This record gives sequence, C-alpha cells and structure tokens, in this order.
Amino acid sequence: MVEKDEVIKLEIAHGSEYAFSILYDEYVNLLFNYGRQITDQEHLIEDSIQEVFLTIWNGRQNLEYIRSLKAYLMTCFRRSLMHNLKSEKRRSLFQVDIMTKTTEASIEMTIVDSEAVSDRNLKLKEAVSKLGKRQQEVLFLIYHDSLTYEDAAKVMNLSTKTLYNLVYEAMKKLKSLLLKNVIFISFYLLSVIDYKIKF
Amino acid sequence: MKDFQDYTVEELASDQGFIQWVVDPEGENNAYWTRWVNLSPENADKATQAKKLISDIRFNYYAIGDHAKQRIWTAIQFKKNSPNVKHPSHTSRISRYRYAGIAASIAIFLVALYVFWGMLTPNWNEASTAYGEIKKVMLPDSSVVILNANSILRWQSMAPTHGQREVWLTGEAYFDVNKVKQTAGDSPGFRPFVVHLENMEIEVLGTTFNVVHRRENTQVVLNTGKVQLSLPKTAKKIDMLPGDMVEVEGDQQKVSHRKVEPSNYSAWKENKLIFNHQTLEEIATYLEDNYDYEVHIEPDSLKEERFSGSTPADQLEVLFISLESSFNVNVIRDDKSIVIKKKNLSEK
Repeated sequence: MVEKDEVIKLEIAHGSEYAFSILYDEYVNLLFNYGRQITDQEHLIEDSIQEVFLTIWNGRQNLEYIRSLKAYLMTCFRRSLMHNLKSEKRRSLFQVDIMTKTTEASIEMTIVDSEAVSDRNLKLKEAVSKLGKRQQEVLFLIYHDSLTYEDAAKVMNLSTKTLYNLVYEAMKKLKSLLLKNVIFISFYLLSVIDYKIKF
Repeated sequence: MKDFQDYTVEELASDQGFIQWVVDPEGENNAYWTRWVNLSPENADKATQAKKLISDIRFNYYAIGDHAKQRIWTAIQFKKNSPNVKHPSHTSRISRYRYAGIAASIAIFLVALYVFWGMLTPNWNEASTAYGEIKKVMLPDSSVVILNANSILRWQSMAPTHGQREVWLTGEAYFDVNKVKQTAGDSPGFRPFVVHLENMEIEVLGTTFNVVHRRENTQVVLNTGKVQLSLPKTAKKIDMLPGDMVEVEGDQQKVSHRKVEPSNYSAWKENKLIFNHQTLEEIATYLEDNYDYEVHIEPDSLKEERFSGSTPADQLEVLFISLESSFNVNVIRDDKSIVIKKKNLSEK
C-alpha cells in the first residue's frame, strides 16, 4: 500500500491522469466512510471529496514532498468538511448506536436472553456516550483506519500527546465493560464549533 | 522497546506497537509481543483483554454509492483543468430550501459547462488520416468527404436539422456535398454547407470541390456547382464557377483566381497523382505534406524545373523513375528523406 502510494504520488506529480484516477478509486471510499462518521450530510461530504482531489491535482508539483498520501488526503478532507459543516451551521445530532454482532449466534442469544443483552447494551451505550466526540473520532482513525498516532494527530490538528491521552482515556472507560458484544459507534459531531478549529 | 511488565490493559490497548500487532499478528512486532505474552500468565491475561478491547471497537461502515462516486469524479474532471471554476461553496445560514436552490443553480451551471465543454471537445466527431493514407467519410447529412493524407476533418455529432451544416478542415479533402432542403427554421430553400479553414470559409449548397489547406495557404478547386469563399480578414467574397481554382496565402492578401482542369487536382482520390506543369519544388512540398518525406533538391536551380505526368499515389517509384529520366537526376530515397540530385557530367 505504502509503496503503491509512492508510485502513484510520483506519477501524479508528473501529470499522469491515470495515476490520478487510481488514487481516486483507492481513497474515495475511505474518505466517504470517514466523512459519514462525522456527519450524515452526504452532499457536504461529496463537496469535500471533490475539493480534496482538486487540491491534489492542482498542487501535484509539490506532491513528492508529502510523506503519507493517506494522512494528507484525510487531513485536507477533514479540514474541508469541517469548513463546509461550519458554513452550513447545521447541527447534527450526536448519535450512538450499539448493536449486537449480527451473527446467527448473537441473534439467537438476543432471543434467549434478550433481557440480559439489552441490559448489557444499555451499559455499553452509556459508556460510549460518555466518550467525547473527539475520543470517538480518534478511535476511528487509530483502530479503524489504522493511522499512526503521528498521522492521526495531523489529521485532527492535535498534538501527538493529546491524541494519546484521548485514546488512553477512552480505553480506560471501555475496559470497565466486559465486552462479549461488538460496539458499533457512529459518532456525529454535536457541533463543529466545539472543535475550535481555526481556518 | 520499553518494559511493559507493569502496564495496565488500557495502556496496552493504547500502544501503537500493540495495536499494530493485533491488526497484523504476523507483522514485524510479532516476535516482541509473543515473547512478552509468554513472560507471565498476567501478561497473557492482560494481552487477551487488551486485544478484545481493540477488536470490539467497531464502526459502522458506509460505502459510497456508485452514482455518487461517478458524480464526484465527473465534477473533478470538469474542474481540474479550469482553475477559474469555483468549487461549490456554501454561504452561512442557508436553509434546506435555499440549499436546494443553490444546488439547482450549481447543477444548471454544471450542465451549461458540460454543454459548452462538449461543444469544444468531446461531442466533436473527427476523422483523420496518417501520411500516405486516404479515407472516405460520410457526414450526418450523407455528404461524402474524401480525406487525403495527413489531414483532419471535424464536425459536430449533434448537427441541427436546419441552419447551416459545418465542418472544419486542415489538410486536403475532396467534398461531394448533397443539396439538403431546410426542414425547419424561417428561411426556406437549401441548407448551406460551410467548410471552415484557418484563413477562409467556403460556403456551398450542393457541389463537388477539392480543398487543400497546407502551410497556411489554401487552394480551392471547384468541379461542379457553385461556391462562395469568404476571407474574414479582408471581408472579401469570391464566387467560383466550375473549373475555377482560387489560391489564398495565409495572410489573405495574395489571392490568385484562374481556370484549371479540376480533375487533376482531385485525382489523388482515385489513387493517382497528376502533375500538370508543376515545379519540382511544388512536387517536393506535396511529397512532404502527404508522405512525410524530407525532400532535398540539389542544386537550387533544379527547383524551378517543371514537370507533367501522372503516377499511382501508392507507387512513388514510378514518379521517381520518370523524374530521373526527364531531368537527368538521381533520386535517392530512404525511410525519411528523398534526395533529388543532378547527375555528375561524368555519369552522363
């Protein structure tokens, strides 16, 4: 993946439209999914995806100085999306979903022991809702998109130390639960202004 | 690495190296963590809990729809080569309806852009020929154009049903234009057919004629019917009759108008080259334009010699043999070049 990105980066820097289309195919899903964790306003996500790839293309001469394409794409994307959300001033609701693993076994368990399951779900929901939005986003970047701390810090415009603390605090909270179920978290940002991001 | 002996479960679960090991158990950290886990039962227990914690964190996955994916890509393609186009930006405090309005105008703008862009590039049809190639092209109105070597003819794919028919030409082509009646519009009669060239426009109703546009100069030879040439720079109009030849130089200042045998000028479409009292320099130019040869004539005085004769267009050897015998020259030919050189007196 990383080596492939290196090749793509150089090809795009030399003006290859083909490499550019590969980059798009490679990352459009990742960006969309990331955006969708933050907001359900897909038109804003689409605008930001567009902006990010135009930024890449228009600045392709400087692409070779970028260390990680993935981190760069996500950083630009997040900045653009935050900006779009802010200008839209649309407050999306914080929403936490906790679901049981959708295997046959867990469905069976739900039926047999629905009271216990829902009780546990409730506890999970409670714990997760105590996580801040930033904590949830950090978990997403670190555990879902497998970014390094360094890259995730850049994407979220935080220091690596702050980022580590966010993860650690989140893990401490979650540990208190013995998790037989899978936690599904979808974090919507209550308000982008809370992020205190300056543009 | 540090000693993780005293570390808690949450510290483990937050450790970059440990996370990587959970994600990729066969990765480079494997040896280290396997050893660590085997150090004590406590370690093993902590590792199991931390692993569970990590793997229990799941996020909903939202896949982008194919339509959206294509839509965004198309928009990127539109904008990436036109830096003046602003990205869609949203003003503050807009309601959903307001947004819909903005979205609609963006959509209209994009459609307009698409149409405009479409007129400039992709909705064009193009026929082109390589050196030494001849191609027959049928236009939407069933007029026929025969393209000589090294030429490009372009026309719009969605030609309207009334008004003028238009094509754009560089190189050489023979036109056999159908007379087509107006099917709509205000003006009755026939639909004009217009050939756009770099330095003039040719307007006809239904005729056959040959057009050459090479090296900025244009030559039109009319076989049948009637055509009108317009020279935009001098606002001059020239009416041509069958058998007329008009030559216009690039700057449109020098214009010659005379009678010729028209079939000689379109003989190439029957795979024949007919030269009628033409200078060797003119013949050399023709070979350069149509066959991609570099032609050298030595000495310069030879360039003014005139030659008449015909030759199959795909067998230039025939031409060279008759040139050799007519002017006492050697014609030396390789892939790229032709040298026409006066024979030494001793060779005579």
